[in-house]
Amino acid sequence: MKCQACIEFILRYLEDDLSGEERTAFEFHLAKCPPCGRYVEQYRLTIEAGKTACADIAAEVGEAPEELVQAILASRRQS
Amino acid sequence: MSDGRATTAPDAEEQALLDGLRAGSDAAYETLVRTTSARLLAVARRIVGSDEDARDVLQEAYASAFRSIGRFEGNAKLSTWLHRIVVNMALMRLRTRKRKPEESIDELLPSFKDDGHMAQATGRWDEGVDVALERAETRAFVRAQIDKLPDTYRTVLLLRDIEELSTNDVAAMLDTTENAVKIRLHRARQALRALLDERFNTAAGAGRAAR
Repeated sequence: MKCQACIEFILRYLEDDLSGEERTAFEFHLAKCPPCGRYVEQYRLTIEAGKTACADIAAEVGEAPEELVQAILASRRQS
Repeated sequence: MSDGRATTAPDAEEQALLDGLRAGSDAAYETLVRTTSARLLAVARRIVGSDEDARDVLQEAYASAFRSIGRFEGNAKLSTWLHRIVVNMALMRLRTRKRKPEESIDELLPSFKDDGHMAQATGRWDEGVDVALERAETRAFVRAQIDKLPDTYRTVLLLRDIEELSTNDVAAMLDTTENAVKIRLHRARQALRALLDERFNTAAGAGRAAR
């Protein structure tokens, strides 16, 4: 397996969606290609970083603005 | 981070809230809005990309939810049901918004030589990405990089990796195939990896003033 095929397999590897043969070839390539090994690790860290960053609702929006809460509640009385 | 797709019986608190909503109790509606709106505002803002549009989306979504509360069957959590409505409204807003041609993300994807090997070696990331993510500043940086992704890629990354919806659900919401979702998600993650590389790559970091 070459790097290009290896990189294309990452998503399916993480979703456990590779055939036994594909998985073996993927893991064999990773074991002998450090740049691809780093790439796969960073791909995984990227997903984690996104999750961690977006779990931070308080910093992102804090509370919903009071006027928005009031507007939402008012919409119910109009309907 | 959606509250799970599992079908569960509502707990006592949720049931009381639902009873209140069905009975038309003002207090129940206020509780629902106050306990769910901050998170849903963040969800909408990430998809539509602006505070103003996100607030409009939230108003429309709650208005729609209020109209259909009688049809809510209680086989999902209220917060999960509302979350779906907000995501759908936000996607609709994106679709109707004036579209400018999307920027290509090709330069953020790895390139390969004719023999199939990577054209440039992947640099090392700092050992402490986890530690860096404990800082609010790093988390804000990561969110800003997600915001930079073109709509097509950002939405799939948000729905799959952040909102944790299934490939099947995302394909239905975006009116496309599961395979198309997987291809876009893979490209979106790779593009985001390249954007984070500017911060986490040891060599790139060494060239900058420490901060």
